[in-house]
Amino acid sequence: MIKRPKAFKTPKSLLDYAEKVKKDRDSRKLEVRICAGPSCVAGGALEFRDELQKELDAHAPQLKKAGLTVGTSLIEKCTGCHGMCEAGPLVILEPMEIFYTHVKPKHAKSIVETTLLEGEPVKELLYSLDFTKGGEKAKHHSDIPFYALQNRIALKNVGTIDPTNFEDFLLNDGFKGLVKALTTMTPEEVVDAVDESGLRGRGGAGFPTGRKWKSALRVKQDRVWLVCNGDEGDPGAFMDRVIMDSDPYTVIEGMLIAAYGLGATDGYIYVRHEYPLAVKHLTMAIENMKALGLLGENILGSGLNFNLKLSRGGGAFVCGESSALMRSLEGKVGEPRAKYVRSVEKGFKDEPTVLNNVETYACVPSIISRGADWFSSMGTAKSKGTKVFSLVGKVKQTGLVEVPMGRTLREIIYDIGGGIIDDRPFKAVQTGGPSGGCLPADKLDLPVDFDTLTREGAMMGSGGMIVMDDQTCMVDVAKYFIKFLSDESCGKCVPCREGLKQVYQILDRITKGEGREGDIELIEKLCHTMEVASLCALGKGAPFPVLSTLRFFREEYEEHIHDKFCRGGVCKELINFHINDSCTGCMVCLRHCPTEAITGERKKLHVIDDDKCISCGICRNVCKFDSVDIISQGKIVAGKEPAMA
Amino acid sequence: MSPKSKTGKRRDPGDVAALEPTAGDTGAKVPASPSKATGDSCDPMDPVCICDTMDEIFTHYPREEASLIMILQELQDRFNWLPDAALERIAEELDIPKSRILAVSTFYKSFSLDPRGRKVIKVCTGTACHVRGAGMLLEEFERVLDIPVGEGMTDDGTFSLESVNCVGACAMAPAVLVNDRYYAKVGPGNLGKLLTKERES
Amino acid sequence: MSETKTVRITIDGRSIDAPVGQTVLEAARQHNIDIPSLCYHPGVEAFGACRLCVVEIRKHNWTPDWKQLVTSCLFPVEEGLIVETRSPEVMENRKVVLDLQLARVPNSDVIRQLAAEYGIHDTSYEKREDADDCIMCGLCVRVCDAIGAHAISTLSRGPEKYVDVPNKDACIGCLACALTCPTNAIEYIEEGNMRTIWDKTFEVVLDPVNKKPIATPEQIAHFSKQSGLPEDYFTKSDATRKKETAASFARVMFD
Repeated sequence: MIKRPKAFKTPKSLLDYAEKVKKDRDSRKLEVRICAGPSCVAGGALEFRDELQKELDAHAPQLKKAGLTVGTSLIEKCTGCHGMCEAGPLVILEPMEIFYTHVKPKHAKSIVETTLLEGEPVKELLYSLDFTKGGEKAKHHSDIPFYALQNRIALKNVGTIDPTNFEDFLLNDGFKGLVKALTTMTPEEVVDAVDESGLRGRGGAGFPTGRKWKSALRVKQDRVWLVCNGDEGDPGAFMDRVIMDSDPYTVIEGMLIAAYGLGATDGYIYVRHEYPLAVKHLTMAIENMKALGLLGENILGSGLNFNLKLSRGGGAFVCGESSALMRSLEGKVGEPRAKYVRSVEKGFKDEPTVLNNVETYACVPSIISRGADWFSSMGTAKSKGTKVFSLVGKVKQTGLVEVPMGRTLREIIYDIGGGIIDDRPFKAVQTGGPSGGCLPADKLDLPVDFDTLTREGAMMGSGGMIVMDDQTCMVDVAKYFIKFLSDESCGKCVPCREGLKQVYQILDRITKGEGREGDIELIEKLCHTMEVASLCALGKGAPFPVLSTLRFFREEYEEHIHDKFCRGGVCKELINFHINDSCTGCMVCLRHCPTEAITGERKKLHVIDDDKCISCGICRNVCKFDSVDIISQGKIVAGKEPAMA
Repeated sequence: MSPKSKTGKRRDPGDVAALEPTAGDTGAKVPASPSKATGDSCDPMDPVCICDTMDEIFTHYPREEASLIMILQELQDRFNWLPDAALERIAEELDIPKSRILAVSTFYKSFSLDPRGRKVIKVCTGTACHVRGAGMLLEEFERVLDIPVGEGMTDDGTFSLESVNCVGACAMAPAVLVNDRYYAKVGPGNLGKLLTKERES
Repeated sequence: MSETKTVRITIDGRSIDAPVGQTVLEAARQHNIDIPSLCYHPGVEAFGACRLCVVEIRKHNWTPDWKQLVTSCLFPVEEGLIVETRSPEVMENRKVVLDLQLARVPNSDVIRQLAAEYGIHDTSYEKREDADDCIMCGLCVRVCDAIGAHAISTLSRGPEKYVDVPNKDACIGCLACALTCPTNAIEYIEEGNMRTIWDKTFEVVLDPVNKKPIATPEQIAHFSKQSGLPEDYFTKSDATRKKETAASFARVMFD
């Protein structure tokens, strides 16, 4: 039994302890990692964990005979999100590299009996390489393209460690970067290393982190605040949540290294209120580190003082914008200010403040421990390292992927993501959140980095990638983003507050088939003013979803206006629902229809009464036989077969 | 025995609803913790309740403006809404004009100035959920619960309905959050089951 | 006493010396160059919300074709700055902004007149239903804060954002909000010694000689508390005293 010191007073005491823990852990034969990310928990991961514990207890004698003692040589633990949420609940067995998907509590018994006792995989739980039940199975998780093609740096501990377990973090090179910085580098060398690594802010804007830090050093002030932006607001992006949920210590280690480099003594982590687990795990980590002497005064005896607090946001997307975030931290309404004075000079409480995003801080420990050259050897000329993307929407394998910058959209969506659900045609990928854009199929071979996507009217942003198939209406997508931004606008400046309202009204009438001649031009003019004359980045970026869809999918706008046709089969006023011959008469749709618009008898073709139908789409959603078609202007736009090539 | 297995084994990193935060295994006290709105919180219409609750909350935070949002969050967590008497007390203790507190509590979406149901259903309307049918789902919730999104609660006081711009569970779209419990791939087909489960728990 | 440092800037081709710390808008106005604005007031902190004062700038070290739109009420002057207040881009922006404002407050004479000056007689957009005349410039909130009453606030956010007095007790009936409102959107009624504003009625102390309203008792109590002067200081009619009063008002308001 290794006793953890009450506090670590020197770097050596921390390293010695890590070494001891490592030795002790080497005696382990087997580790069962249960993913306890929200998706897997929603799917029953914790019920599985309870069942597994029962089975382990029940089989304890046999396991012991096989050399597996629960708690020492056999460890079962809950980790953060493994990333491949689509296939959850997920269970990984190490070092056998066995990867189980869609695990239910009932599988606990067979996992214990077959895998733990006999060393054989439970075949039905293995990942299917072609996404079908009878398809070829991946024996090891490294056989799965989703994982094999990734290169995890910011996500290095995500899914492998128990985020609440300090020793688990230590074992995976935890605090190695911090110790190296404190013992072998001057603060200037730390900042130089980050600068040389080419790391750019992962929150979206892509400002070079090293340059930001250097400009903060030039500001002569007594106090510098260090803030971590965990207000991940871009819809469709959730890497920051996963990092905070699953690896809180790495984020704090990154901040400590920054604090050393910048001479910062006080800091905040600002977390979105919608992320309760992140709040919980970070709070836990902060308190642990305070108790262990890794936060507070004279950290590891190095003279570094750093006090860290956690602050929860109140639910406002605009607070991801730096000046609004500072106001929110001050307890005020999150209204942005014009940025003629940078926050490195006047930020939180009008004092110099360095703000970086969660993923940015999470990269820092690896950059310090493995060197700037190592980091900058990955990626493209101006976008170094790796980036985490959240691959979501109509793609087969949704989840988080981390790849070197410069991979093409096609590699990410098709090779890693497995392509489009039901092999339907790809229509667009939306990148960069509400200030990003939608790219069509002929842009799939673009390398993904900060600058390439921006040139194409989209942006990489924080790394959200929402894949859309042919059953998506691009006018509806534009309207969606404008509605989103209108809900989230702070309401301070005219172009954003009034402009978004008006753009929404115009798009709304277009999607209702009431679009007018000149509407497209009116939108374009208004968007231009919003882009150049809004006060903050939210307003300035707000037109991009509209402008990029107009650029690549203008014909869809025109079809809506002139032909009252919605090729995506989405805009309610322009579509009808129709039940085709494949209907088996199961009566499911009939029971779910909220307006009793469907009539029919058991085992007989059902019929929809257009007068009663409100186009809610529930019948199509619940039909197991793809028997409900969507029709616009007499054409089937969404039916059983892919509608358009 | 490894030093951590004893505690590590019992911890539920995913089960937000079931577990109060602890400070890991150092025994340190966690000062500010998001506790849950539970049935056993006192009656917010009772001045003594407000007074006790606020006394307790104020022990965790310095009396400065920067604490305002955190204090409001704590209050919201306790009751699912912000009772006016509590806002008066905050104004007094932090020396912030009441008008400013109301500006903050109406600006941020997580606060409500009106009582809400015991369980708040948050339908995610992030982009990934939108392209997978969140709009339809939200309308169906409105129909089934017979309350508009963002207003009031069901007659029995159980549910309030809200839309939220992305809960960061994009891979499980459409996602729904009930208080702090996540539900994956919710559709009109399994919505009834979700409500039954939540009603009973 | 140290001499104020100045920088040389160019506005619409005119060379101007402006003290460091001044904004472009202040410098322009000091030299009688007109930049329109709705949310600016010299007595309170600049806000940058109405976007009418947006101007085009270039800097001497920028490439010749590079220019940028900035908010003149917030942008500080700097050596060599070149400002255009009526470039095509600036004018286009003003037109769209006024067009949007006209949709928001279609009944406001001030906005209608201003829009007409830019050739906009009817809005291109959907008019707001049941529109009042508030353009959300936030001046009333800032003025009320400067006075120290903190009665007025913006509530909600985005297009739904509005101005109100959520805490009527705090209002001292001083009329500062109504008198600074650029679109006269804040209504008040004054009859004899009664004044009603924000649905709250005040008794007004009248000048003992000319019977004109001086202030509300709440206002007097507030200023007395802030300035340390006795309350009767604020109610005397003497002309000299009135001047002093005005000076103390100014001090309290703008300090």
